[in-house]
Formats: sequence, structure tokens, C-alpha cells
Amino acid sequence: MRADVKKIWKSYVKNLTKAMKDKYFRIGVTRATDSYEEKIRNLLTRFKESHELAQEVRAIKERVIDNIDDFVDKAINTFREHGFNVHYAETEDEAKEIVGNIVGSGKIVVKAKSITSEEIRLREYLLEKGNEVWETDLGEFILQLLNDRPMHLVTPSLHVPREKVAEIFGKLLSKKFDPSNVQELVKAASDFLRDKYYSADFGIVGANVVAALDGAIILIHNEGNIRFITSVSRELIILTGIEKIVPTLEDAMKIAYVLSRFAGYKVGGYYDIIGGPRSYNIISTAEPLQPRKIHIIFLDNGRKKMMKDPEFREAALCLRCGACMYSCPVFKIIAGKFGGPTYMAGIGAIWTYFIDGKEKASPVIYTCLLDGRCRERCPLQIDIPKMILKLRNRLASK
Amino acid sequence: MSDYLPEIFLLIRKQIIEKQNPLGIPPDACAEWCKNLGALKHTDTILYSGCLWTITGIIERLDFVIRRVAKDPASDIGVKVLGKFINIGKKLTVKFRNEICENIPAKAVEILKQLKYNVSCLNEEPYSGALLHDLGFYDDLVRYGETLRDFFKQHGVKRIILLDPHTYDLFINVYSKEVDDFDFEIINFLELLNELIEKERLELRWDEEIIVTYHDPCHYSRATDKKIIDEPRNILTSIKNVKLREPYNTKNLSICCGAPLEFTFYDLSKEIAKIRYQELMKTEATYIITACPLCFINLRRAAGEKKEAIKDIIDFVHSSIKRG
Repeated sequence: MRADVKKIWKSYVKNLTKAMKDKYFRIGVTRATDSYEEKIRNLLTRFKESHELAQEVRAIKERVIDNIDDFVDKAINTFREHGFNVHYAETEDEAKEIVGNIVGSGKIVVKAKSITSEEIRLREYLLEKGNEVWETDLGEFILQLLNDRPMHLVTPSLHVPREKVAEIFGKLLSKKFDPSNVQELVKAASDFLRDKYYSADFGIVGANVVAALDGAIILIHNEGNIRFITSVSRELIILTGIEKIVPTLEDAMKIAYVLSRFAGYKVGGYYDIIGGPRSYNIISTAEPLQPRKIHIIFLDNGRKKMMKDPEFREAALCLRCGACMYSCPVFKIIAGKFGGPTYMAGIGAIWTYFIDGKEKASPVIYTCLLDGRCRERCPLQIDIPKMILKLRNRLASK
Repeated sequence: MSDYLPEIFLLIRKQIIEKQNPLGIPPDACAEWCKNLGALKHTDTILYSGCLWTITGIIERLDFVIRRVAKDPASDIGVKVLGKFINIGKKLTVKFRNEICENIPAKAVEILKQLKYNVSCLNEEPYSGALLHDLGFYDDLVRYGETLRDFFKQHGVKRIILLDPHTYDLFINVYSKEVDDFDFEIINFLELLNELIEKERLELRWDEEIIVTYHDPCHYSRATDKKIIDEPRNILTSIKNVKLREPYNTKNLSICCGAPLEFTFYDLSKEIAKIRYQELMKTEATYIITACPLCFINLRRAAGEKKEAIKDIIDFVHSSIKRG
């Protein structure tokens, strides 16, 4: 093993072992994985048509992957026509530079939960540039205060028990919180964040689906925070990976449905569709008679390479519902510690390989059991074990 | 040699390629079970264990070593320790003999004999190569499959009965497709047993009424082509006095026992086994029936003092005949 790789493995093993022995971490993870698995199981029993729709979604996504260059071009053109400021970033650094140029420094930024922004470490980057940045998703807000990383795509702080939340909120607001009073904890966070929405210069959100031909994005959320950001902030930045692109808004709705269902929700709390800037503003704090600026950044960062590799294009189908993670036996113990810098579990091992490189991916690739339970749970039946074996073969041949 | 792989994987690879066994056990020592059966009528149908039962048995006895070696896969010290044990070759099967595991293939042959099915076995058993597959040594695997093919052909083998999901998956999905002229008829033991029990109307009986639960091995219940889910259940419920109770997660959503990680992250592997073991125990079954040697030993690890509650399906059926 090469010395730099060995270092990565050592720290991976250390983190994994620590999590495994952390009683609170284990309680949080067990509670969350068990309850979400149960929710998904019940939903899929009740709504059997979910599987058929998922098959339809797979065909939609496959068509886009096969013609990705074309669809990216189409998306860029349509969104531009709709008055978006459209940007394209090939790499993480390019994406950061684009956002950096828009935001500058000394600004207040409110963020929605976005795994793509985690991927490029956007919050850290904007903080370094001297901005005040707040995560507004409750789970992400908790992690920001704890200086921790998400352990799941949909439920990022599943490993943090409420006792720890009470402690960290207490520190932030110099007040004592009762951990059993969840309502009080949530209220404290929302009171704190409400002012930030109004004073924010920029809002940053991701996108769950992008409709290339209709020029609109869909955002799914459960807390209402995203609706606040997209309505109130003076200037809005949408950062999305190109894998989120589908042809039409109708296709996008199908994905939104499947995504919610397999994430463990009958329907999501909120579905927002953004199709372009308004011609005047009565809600946002921007200049009332000027169209508000909305930027959309399409990020590649290894995605095209994945989509064009016949052995791994299937990984780009992932909708990020997280059902595979709740179902994974390894994840049930160590959650996102089975993962790379951003992407988690088996599917995350493949994404890590393409986004962060084989060095960081190698221990993750060898943590997979190849048991295939993820494939059974995946709405699109992505054959994760098959791809993991291909990656092992690539690593072993080096 | 490899930039990205822990040394222990390379050690395993080397042993398989050079000694035809991941633990360096010579093929003739792997076939002890066959030799002990005495003379069998010659036939071109063989029962092949791929040495897996002997290997897993020894791994269970070597727990005190594996536990330490697989604590930190990035460390080279573990490999040196394990290397010492591997180097003793044949002595491993004497010093760390595990009779419960080692005799399972012989019991499978005895069951088939009871069912009037003509089968023999070989006096040498090279390993199946499954670990080359799982660790990613694909080119080595195909070459290894070729040597296995030649070995079987030299012995005039036409049909191969396989006992465990890993070897079966490998033979069906890799060797038969990727290795030229790997044209043996591959038979799964449980499928065959299920057929024969029905055909021969063999009476199987457990002495007292008991409840058992069945743990699906991943490579049977989630196989990408032919899943083996109903066969073991049919076999178990055909035994008189046996009531089968399903665990909460079962069949295609059964939870893995964690064994595939035992050489990489031993503790994690054991924690996973504990989750599954506890779930299986919630059925209040007397026995947890397994159909894979890896599941067998990893669930035994999780069960600790209660490890006798884990029984392999072959062993269980075998006992049901004797008592019948």
C-alpha cells in the first residue's frame, strides 16, 4: 500500500472504530435506520405502484445519461431564456470561484441542505472568504454548530441524539435546554434563523430535479426553510449536479414522487418549482421593481466521466433517496462513516471514486459486504455490488 | 505490489495462486472428509466443497488471531502474525481442526446416499477461488478457474454438486460464463435435496417438537438470476415436528451476517452479526438454521455461549434422518 493511501486507510479505520464504540452515535443511528426502514416498508406495501413508476423513472434517467452533453446544452439554453444567470462548472474549484465572484465577502448567506454544496465544501469556502453563512435545515444547522459532517443524505444528523442538541443550542444561545422538550429545541433554532432569512444577502439552494426542456427546478423539503430562502433572499444561487437533469417537468414530477416515497415519506412536506425570476418583488428584500437575480450553476466534477463509463453509468441514476443506506447492514452500525468525504455507503463508494479519487475511495470500496440488500431497496435497482466489484478490480490491478 | 490494497488481501491472493488455498492448506488435507467416507461407487458426479467448510472451521478456531489481524487492515503487523499460521500448511488442519464444520460435506454425501443418489468426491480439493472474486483479482480469478477446470476434467468430472452460496454463485455466474470450456453441469445441493426428498418420500423427523428459524444467505436470497429461497424452507418444513418461524427481515430483504468483512474489519463484522443474531433470536426458535459456512461461523461468533443454537441445514437434515 502506498504511504499516502495508508494514511487515508488509517484515519478511516480510526473514525469507523470510534463511531462503532460511541454509544450515543449507535443509539441515534439504530433509531433512525430502524424507523425509516419501517416507514419505507409500510409505504411500499401500501403503494405498490411506486415500483412501476420507479421503472419509468429509470428509463427517463437512462435516456438523459446516454445524451448528457445534449441535455446539458438544452438546460443551459432554456434556463438562460427564462432569465436565469446560467453558469457551468467543470470542477469543484470552478464552482467555488463562480459562487465566490457572485457573493464576494462580508455578506450574510442562508443555505438549504444540499449534498452538492457539501461536495464542494461551499459553506467552508464562503466562511473563509469572510461571509456569515447559516445552514437552515435543522439537521444541517445542528451539524454546523457541532462542526460535524452529515451522516445521511435526507436525515443528515441522524447520529446526533437530542441530548447533544440541547447542549450545543445552550452554548449558542446561552440558555439551558431540556433535551426531552424537542418542541423548545426546534423553536429555538427557528427563532434564531428567522432573522437571518430577512437579513440575508444571498440564498443558496440545491435542486432535487432539473427539467431541461421546461427550464424549471424542483426542490423537495420538509421544514419549509427552502420556501423561505427562495422567496425572501435578495439574490438566489442554485447549485446542482448535472445528474439531476431530466427532459420535462412532467418527468421531474415523477422523480419527485419516487424520491419522496423511497425516502420514507408518503409525500414530501413541500415541493417548490422555480421557473425563473419574477418581474417585480413583493416578498423578497431585493429592489421591488427589478427582476431578482437567480443564478443556476451546473456542476460536472466527475459526473460526465461516470456517465460515459459503461461500467459505472448506472451509478449516475441515483436519485439520492437514501433508502439503500437505511437498509445497509454496515450503515446500521457506522452510518456515514462508511463513506468518503461526501458520499456514503455503497453507492457513495462509487461516487467517491469519481468525485474524490481512488485514494479516498479505496477503504470505502472495501467496506462493502456485497450483500446486495441495497439493490433490493433501491427504487431503480441500481446494481451497486456489481460496480463495487469492478472498482475493486480497478484498485487491485494497480 | 498494490498501491491501494491492504497487505492481507495480497497475502490471501498469493496463497490461493501458489497453494490453491487462502490459508495454505494443501488440497489433499482439504479432502480429509472425503477420504474418511471410505470407498464410494465411482461416478462422474462429484460433491465439491471447495474446502470452504474446512477453511471456515479453522478460521473459527483461529479467532484469537483474526480478531487482532483485522483490527487495522492498513497495518502490516497483522499480516506477519497471520503469515506464521498460514505457513504451517497441513498442520493447520490438525492443530486447529474444527470437526463440526469439517464433517458437513461428508454429511451431505451421506444424505444423498440415503436418497439413493449416486455421488462421489475427490481425494484432493483445491479452493474455489471465491476470495479472488470478492477482493477484485479478476484476471487471477479467470486463470484460477482454468486450472480448476483442468483439474475437474482430469478427474473425469461431468457434474458438480455445490454446497454453499459463494461457491455456487462463482461457478454459475463467473466460471461458467467467463472460463472457456467450463462446461460442467452445476447442481445446487439444496435444490437437489428438495427435489429428492419429494421424489423419494424420505421420512425426516426431529425427536421433539421444535421451532426453527432460517437465515437466508445473501448469495441465495438475492442472487441476480435464480434465487434459492423456497428450497431450504420446503426442506425444513418437510421434517416432522419442525415448525419454521420467519424472522422480521427475511427472504430477499434478509440481513447479511457480516462475515465478508471478517478479514478487513473484524469488529464491524461481529457487530453486524449481533444485529442479525438478535433479530433471529426474537423468533424464539430453538435453532437458527444457516445454509452457508460463513454465516454459520459468524452467527456463532455473535451468539457466544449460545453458539450451539446455530445449525447448518445439512447438519440438521442429517440428524433428522438418523433419528427418523
